[in-house]
Amino acid sequence: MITIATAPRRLEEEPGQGPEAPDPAKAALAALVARAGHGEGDAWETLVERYSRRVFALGLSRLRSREAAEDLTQSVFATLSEQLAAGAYREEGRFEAWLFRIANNRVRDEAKRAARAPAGEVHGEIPATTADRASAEDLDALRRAVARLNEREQELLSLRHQAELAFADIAELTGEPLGTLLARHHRSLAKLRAMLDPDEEEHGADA
Amino acid sequence: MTNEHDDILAGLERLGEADRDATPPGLARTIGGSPPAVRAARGPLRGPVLARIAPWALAAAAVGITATLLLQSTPVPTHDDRAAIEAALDPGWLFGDEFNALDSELTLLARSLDDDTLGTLSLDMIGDDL
Repeated sequence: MITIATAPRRLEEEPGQGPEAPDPAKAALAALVARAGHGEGDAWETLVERYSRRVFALGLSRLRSREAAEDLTQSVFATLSEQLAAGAYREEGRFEAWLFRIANNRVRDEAKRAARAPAGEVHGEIPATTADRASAEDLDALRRAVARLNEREQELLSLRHQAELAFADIAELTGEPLGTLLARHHRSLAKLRAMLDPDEEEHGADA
Repeated sequence: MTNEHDDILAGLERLGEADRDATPPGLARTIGGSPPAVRAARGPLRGPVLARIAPWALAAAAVGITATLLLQSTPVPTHDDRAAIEAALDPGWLFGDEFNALDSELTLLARSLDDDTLGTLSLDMIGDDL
């Protein structure tokens, strides 16, 4: 059975613009990217304002270090700047997938490097959340559970929930079929449920 | 309608928001200089592109191209979309264990839905054992 619940919000969507009217937003983004590529400072600043938080969050969730996430963000935007200035961006209408492919590849490289580092050398403090204390504890438990998922599941969740990418964009940048990603997403949620509510899971299995 | 994992999804959304909120306030300002300023921080581009490629890199590229050509000349199994779609049209496919057919069906289904719907899609129909 397929059930549908409240849809998650995406930051880049303007009020009143749904998936039925994506073209104006894409056209505006394409124009913005083109202007940034021609060296217009205000366009570049707008791109940075719009995407740096999402790139940083992607890095933070996977690398679990503020410094590493900050370095990664700067590195990704430096690459973006070079590519735009060199006219290397030719994937019209696919800017987000292009940008986050760069970011995700960089995250993978850094994660491998961190895995080879001695324990405790890389991982730092996870920043405090803006939620109240009780909620923060719940979120910490969820964060620890996410860290126990396998690499591909963690990657998918971070691209979806930290970077706020559409599943179609994730499929494009990872090169995996959409159906595979949806199944993996669902399986990840079920695993998290089992980790966070083991009793409930047992009841479910008994039923 | 509700999703069995609504609370987990809500928690993941809040985690994502918390991580985005953790972005250092000055980071965007640091990066947000003009593109040339950012490029300068990594060093200026120098000379023609070919002149910046080391001889060993050219040799490695030649080896890679040769290997690719050899691999392409070897027949390998390919994903047969036509067969998968035909299988999906057969009601019996749902009870089969052909992962590729199921995967293709999921992809076809997903392409017919908008992303907001996909965001909270519950795939209970396929179970958790994919």
